[in-house]
Amino acid sequence: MATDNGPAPDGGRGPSEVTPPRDGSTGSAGMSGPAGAVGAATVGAASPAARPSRWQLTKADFYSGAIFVAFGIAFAAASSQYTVGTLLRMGPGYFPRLLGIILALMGLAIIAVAVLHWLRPSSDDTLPEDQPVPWLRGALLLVAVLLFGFIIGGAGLLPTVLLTTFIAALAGQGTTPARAAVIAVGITILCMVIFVFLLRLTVPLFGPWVGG
Amino acid sequence: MDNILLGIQTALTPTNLLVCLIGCALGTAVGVLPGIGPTATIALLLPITFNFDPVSSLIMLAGIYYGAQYGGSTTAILLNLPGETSAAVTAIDGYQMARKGRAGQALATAALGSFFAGTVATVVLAVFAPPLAEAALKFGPAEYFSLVVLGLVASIALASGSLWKALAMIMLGLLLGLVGQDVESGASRFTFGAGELDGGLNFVSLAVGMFGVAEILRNLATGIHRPSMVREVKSLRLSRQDFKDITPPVLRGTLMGSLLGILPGAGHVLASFTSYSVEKRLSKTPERFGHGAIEGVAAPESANNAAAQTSFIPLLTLGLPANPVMALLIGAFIIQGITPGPNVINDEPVLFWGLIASMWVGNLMLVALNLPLIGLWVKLLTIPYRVLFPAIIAFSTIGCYSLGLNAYHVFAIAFFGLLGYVLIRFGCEPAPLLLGFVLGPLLEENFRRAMTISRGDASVLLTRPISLAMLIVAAIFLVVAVLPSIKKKRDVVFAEDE
Repeated sequence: MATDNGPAPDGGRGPSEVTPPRDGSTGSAGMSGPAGAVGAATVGAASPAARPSRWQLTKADFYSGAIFVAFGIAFAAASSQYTVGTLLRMGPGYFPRLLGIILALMGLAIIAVAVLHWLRPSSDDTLPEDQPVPWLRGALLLVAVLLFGFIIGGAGLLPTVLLTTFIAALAGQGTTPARAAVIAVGITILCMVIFVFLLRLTVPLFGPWVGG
Repeated sequence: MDNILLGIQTALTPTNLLVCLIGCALGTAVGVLPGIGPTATIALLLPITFNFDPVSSLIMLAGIYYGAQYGGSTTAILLNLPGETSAAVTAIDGYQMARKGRAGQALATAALGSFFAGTVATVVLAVFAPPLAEAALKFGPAEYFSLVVLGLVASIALASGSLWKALAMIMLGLLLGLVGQDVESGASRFTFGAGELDGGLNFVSLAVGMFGVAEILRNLATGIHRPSMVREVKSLRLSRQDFKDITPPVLRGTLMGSLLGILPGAGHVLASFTSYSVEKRLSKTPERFGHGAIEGVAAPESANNAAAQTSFIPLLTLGLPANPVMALLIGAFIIQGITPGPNVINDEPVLFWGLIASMWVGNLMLVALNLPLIGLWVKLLTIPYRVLFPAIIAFSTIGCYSLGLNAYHVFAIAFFGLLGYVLIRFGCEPAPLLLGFVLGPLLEENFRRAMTISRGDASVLLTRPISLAMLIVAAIFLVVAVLPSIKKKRDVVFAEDE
């Protein structure tokens, strides 16, 4: 659907059947104290019943709040390494430190609202979008992108694009390795025509690793 | 008048006609395809357009943007599948018309309404942009700081979802925008000692990651729903009665779209929804709406196309992006060595007037592209997603790497893809983050300059009348957005486009 507006998880199209909560579904956010404790307390009790548990209703807010707090503190702390200065003579650290503190406070506010919500759930709550995380296939996709960055300098454009698209294609639902290979070859040819033939990209086709 | 002639001359050179055509065709294609939107497409194509001269590259990027609005309505009508958010309203009555065998009339109405609206909105842009830019030229750093704050706040007050999360996303975007070398002191900030990051995080990588890769990650879990049946298009001809029915809604839709498009945020979504409900309210037979009322196609289509055009006004006069696509265009300007803002009209008349004239040319092309070739566009839907997404990955990686042959730009795609996916899952939309990212350096620079001029007195932001007025308006936006009654309405508006 529309990519430029993102999903509106509170838009009222929650699934009718409730899936059990997936705890710790984020790798990047350090779980904050209250969120972690709440999670542990409710995970055992929750059963796939029709009524969403409080944790399911509020976990997105806990987690996103925690992410913002973490980023805010990280930026504020890192800014202190640079000259902060005063309002009149602002150093490179001043503005980012200010913004970092504001961000951390906003994260706390989001968590605070989530706590209130957790204590007093309202009757017209709808369950936010809760789809399974595509762990393996998602990881394949990100590995494909990272691999491109690692080998482009050594392998050159052609082998890199071939390998990247092959791994990415494997992430597709029900794509077999043979089919992924066909997809990869097709896309690679298309990319070579567009980027090398039409746009005259100056990246060597074969790098030093493969005798380029 | 000379200016308009200059614009038409620029738009009609063979190169510019060609890039405009390519832009419109690409835009229509991504508007038709679900799973990839104009923001991701423009981000993907930005690296390619850097080979062109500034005028051609912006003409092409703009073509993608308004082309996508057209394409989105095609699938909305034929398949009840709005490829674009703003086309969701069109799907309500457009698809019902198609079910009754009037698909051709719905498409023709959409195309003619959009063309008319696009023409009017282009004139609005040409008339109102120069004086606005003139006014903005008198702004000092304090005014500019407050203007950017107002733009950011307005963009989220008018968007969907949680206001707090959107505000936090802006802050995070502003901070990410500050990564890299500090212009004034030369200090490398938040680079972890990697010299490759001195130039800052690449905004193409950010956009491709947050709007392209994150979206793919989301779709990997859910899959994309492909329709099995396409409604047949019989005749495109509109009857005399049809023309009579659509004229007033097109006029009203154009007016509303032109006004709402200027507002930051999801102006075009708001425009199509508002114009639809206005038509329903004004109609003598409101019960027909939802069952194939031709007015229900004419009004939102004209409104969203008009809004798509007028959303260029804040970009070209103030350097403020009204939506993520405009934020990317700001990046395109900057990489081409042009600072978007009030100076563009005077310093780059060829660019400004050429772009405006090309929009009118592009709208004409879109009518020609869309109506006769409708079957071709619908065929695009047969491309399976498992082929489409590896191609998106290939384009993103090659494109970002080609910007300075820097592998960090590629790593950044993966980082922002993951971050975007996690944040989207937790109900945070990526659009405010992108706006913040683009405006971060501008905000800091004007804040510092304002403080230097005022000798460190922060109250200058409140004592200068224009600055104060803008901050007050920003505060009003915030208060209004959290008022319970308005919040409910906001939710309704945006629930509609899901």
